Amino acid sequence: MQDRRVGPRAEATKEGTAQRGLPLEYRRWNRVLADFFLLQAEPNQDVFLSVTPSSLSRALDEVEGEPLSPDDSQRDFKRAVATMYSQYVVSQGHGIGALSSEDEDGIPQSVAFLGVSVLAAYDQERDPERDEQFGKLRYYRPLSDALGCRLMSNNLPEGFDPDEFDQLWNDLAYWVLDKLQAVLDLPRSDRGHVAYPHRHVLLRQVDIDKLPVMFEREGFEPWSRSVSPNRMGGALDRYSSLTGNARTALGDKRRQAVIEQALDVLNEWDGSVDTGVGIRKAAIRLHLWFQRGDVPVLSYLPSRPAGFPDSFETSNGIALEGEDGPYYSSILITASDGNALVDGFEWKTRGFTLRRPPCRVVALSQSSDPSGFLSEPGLHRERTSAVLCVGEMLAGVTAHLDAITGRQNQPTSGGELPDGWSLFRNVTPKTMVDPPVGLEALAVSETVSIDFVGGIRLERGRTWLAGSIPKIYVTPSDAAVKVDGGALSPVIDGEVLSESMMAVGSHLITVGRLTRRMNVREAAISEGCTPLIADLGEEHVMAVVPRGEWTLLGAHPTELLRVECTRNSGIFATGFNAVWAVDARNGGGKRPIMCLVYDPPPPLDASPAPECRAWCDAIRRAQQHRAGFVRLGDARAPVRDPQPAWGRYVALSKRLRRHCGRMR
Amino acid sequence: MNGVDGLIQWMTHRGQGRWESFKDLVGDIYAHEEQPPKPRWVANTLSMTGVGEFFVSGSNRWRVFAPLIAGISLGQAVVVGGRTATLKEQLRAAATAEGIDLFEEPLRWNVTRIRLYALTDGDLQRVAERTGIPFVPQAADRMIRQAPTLEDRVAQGQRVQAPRNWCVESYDFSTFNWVGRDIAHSAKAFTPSRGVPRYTFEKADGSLVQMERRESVYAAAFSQSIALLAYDPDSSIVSVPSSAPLPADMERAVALCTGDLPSRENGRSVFAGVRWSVGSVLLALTGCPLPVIPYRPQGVRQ
Repeated sequence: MQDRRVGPRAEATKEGTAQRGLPLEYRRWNRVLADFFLLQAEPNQDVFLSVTPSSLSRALDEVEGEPLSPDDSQRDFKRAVATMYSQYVVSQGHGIGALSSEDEDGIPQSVAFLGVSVLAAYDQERDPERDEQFGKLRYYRPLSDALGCRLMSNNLPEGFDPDEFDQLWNDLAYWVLDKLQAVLDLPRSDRGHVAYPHRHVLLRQVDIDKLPVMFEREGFEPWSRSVSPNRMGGALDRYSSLTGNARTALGDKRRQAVIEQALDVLNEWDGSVDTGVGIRKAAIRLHLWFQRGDVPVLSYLPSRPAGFPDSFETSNGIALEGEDGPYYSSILITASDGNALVDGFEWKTRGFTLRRPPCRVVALSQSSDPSGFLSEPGLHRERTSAVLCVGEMLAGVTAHLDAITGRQNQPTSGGELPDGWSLFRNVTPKTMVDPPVGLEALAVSETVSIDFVGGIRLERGRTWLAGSIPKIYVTPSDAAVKVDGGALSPVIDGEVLSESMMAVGSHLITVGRLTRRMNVREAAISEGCTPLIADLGEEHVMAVVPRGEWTLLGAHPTELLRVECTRNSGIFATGFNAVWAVDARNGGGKRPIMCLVYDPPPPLDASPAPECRAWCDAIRRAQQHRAGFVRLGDARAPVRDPQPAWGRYVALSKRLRRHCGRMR
Repeated sequence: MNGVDGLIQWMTHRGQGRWESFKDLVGDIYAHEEQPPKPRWVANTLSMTGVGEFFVSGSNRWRVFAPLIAGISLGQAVVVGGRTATLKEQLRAAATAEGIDLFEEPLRWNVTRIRLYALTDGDLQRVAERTGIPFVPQAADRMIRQAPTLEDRVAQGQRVQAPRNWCVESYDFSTFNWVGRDIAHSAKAFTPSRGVPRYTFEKADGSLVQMERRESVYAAAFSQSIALLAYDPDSSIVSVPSSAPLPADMERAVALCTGDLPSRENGRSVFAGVRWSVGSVLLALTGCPLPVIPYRPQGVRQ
């Protein structure tokens, strides 16, 4: 065994030649990773560059306030590194060692590159035979994929020098020690170059995929922040399905970091579980909002993780529709739901289950999407929440809430609240007091948060309509707040008041180390808008007629259509403007001629042709059986006498018939 | 900007969405009103005024129409479809430049409609050219002529089985109301114990066709030759039972004859100013008899 200690550092050049050639996006990600993983380290703390899709998403959100999904974050990050690698390392021929240079703020340029090397190890598939024995090829293939380059005949990515790679890790460790007085963990044993990134993979993808099963087994609630590190550590120790690599990490000085990673996963867990036997489960949350400002309205809000069906229908009469976001349509909770909430329930459909666990106390945290309050275990200091509890817990809950808020809390019940349940509103914990047994859901944690409430959100993420921006609350409410990096903004009861945020553009709100970006913009007309009139260029030409068999005649001797209307009335596409409708039935008897327009136009003269024959015959037959004229519509409308016009149609038809006869 | 204007801008920006997100936003916008409207009422108003359509093809989706200057009569138009603050500014500027009047008139639930008054359709056409919004004269005629017949709607509907363990209601043509029992060959609403109801029309052979709620009622009336709709060409008035509003596309076309919303009289929704060219097609689409009038040669007016 050989200790891999921080060795002498290769000479780093501040604002060296390297960084001038590095693409902007790479430099941006380098700063984000350094800020999130390294710069927050306390002296003597072990730090890990544990890059995962989720941690990339959190890093982006915390450092730049720009939320992206884990998948999108990973894609964006890999693209930035691959572009740098292709241009700077492969095309321009710089060695990867050149990344040890520092940017204008003195941050090593290697952080993002080393981060992608960790991500490649995180992505590495489990070796079914050797478990944690990562082979070189098994590692370098995902690495070359991430770098967007070829795998060479020596089984290394193009342009990749393993010794320079080791040196980059050592240089970074030296920098962390020198600048931050912290310790970047390096592998103790000499297990080759790939041991560096593997050391920083705490839980691999295959481990994280299995955590929901463990969460469910341990009875953890989705989105829970109230599980202690000790409890999570015990749960991980008991869980035998983790990879050997994860078990090793749990057993050495990375234990605390592994536990924190599992807690982060739990914090974002939506309750979905793949049981491995073809059943997928997801959680049903509770949503609370106040109608007319004070009437509580509670709903079930079923989660809809990726892969769940668009509509969810059970055999016992539950029918849900998928919505645009991560939920199904909500279902109103009524007074009769009291027992169901206490006992919990499941809704099942082919291979999918939505469940609401049994509970007696529910904490609801302020939410912006959907607006209102969402059930979530735990309360946050200086952040307004609501609490639901059953009658038997009322005394204990009241005492606990009084203790943590420093005031008397009065519950409400009745109305549309579930029978047997009471609601506490405006619960703002001021102090951290351990909850009594049974009230763990009301444990208070210290969090720094920036919440956006209300407004009209134009897009997913944090983009609001100009003129309808949200209210912004910060936790703790006494925190120092900056808006757009400028002077402190007034904060009253946690609400940030700043006129500058109403302006169209991008605004940064900063509380301590936490930054959130809010975009304000004008609405645009979506390209997906549907035309109200389908074809603006062409008008549909049609005629309406009452019940009967009709021959529809236009002004031109070729314009004729025979239709049969078997209903009270019918509508027929004609392709021409029909002027007359004459009875098309054979046989004797007098029949009126129907004029379809108020002012019949004269017939259009035409050369004799066989195509005119049917038109002429129809007019002749109608004239022979004529019993006056009828028309449709308004009895009082000013109409022109159809007789003269009809006479012209008859005359034209006679003339054409004569010519047609000669032609035959 | 009032909240509903923000709602329309939000819809315009998104183009389409789910009912639940619309409902949530409407809930937020009217949250502090003493008597907030139901989201469905707001949706109906936006549908009638041509902003968008809801429950597209019987689904729980809504979508917004592209902006259009819809001609009502010579020189008069309303602006339908989605709108944004920028679009409204462009319209105002163009109207001023062409010397025509633009009014934003309040309707119900704080929904507003933009009307344009000009001397000729040519003036409106020039506003259209300045803003890039198409102008369609006599838009109601165009709209009603593109509406599918009820037979086509039934033919396009999805054949479904009656869901088990769902409550069933039917439309009763003797009382003109939905009732809590199963009536043969009528419109039927199946409601799950929790969740979204489903509307169907039971054909003569007993099979069920899933349709949008309003269409299911009119399809049943059509199949039984029941005239839900009354149209008097003399007074240009269309009326339907309030419990059986017209299918949304027909209703939009009828409302666009004048640009006004219907009034309520004796349990019926009444649309005024519906000209024959629109009313006759409406009668035919819904299977109602057409008024056939004998011509009397002695007078121009009868």
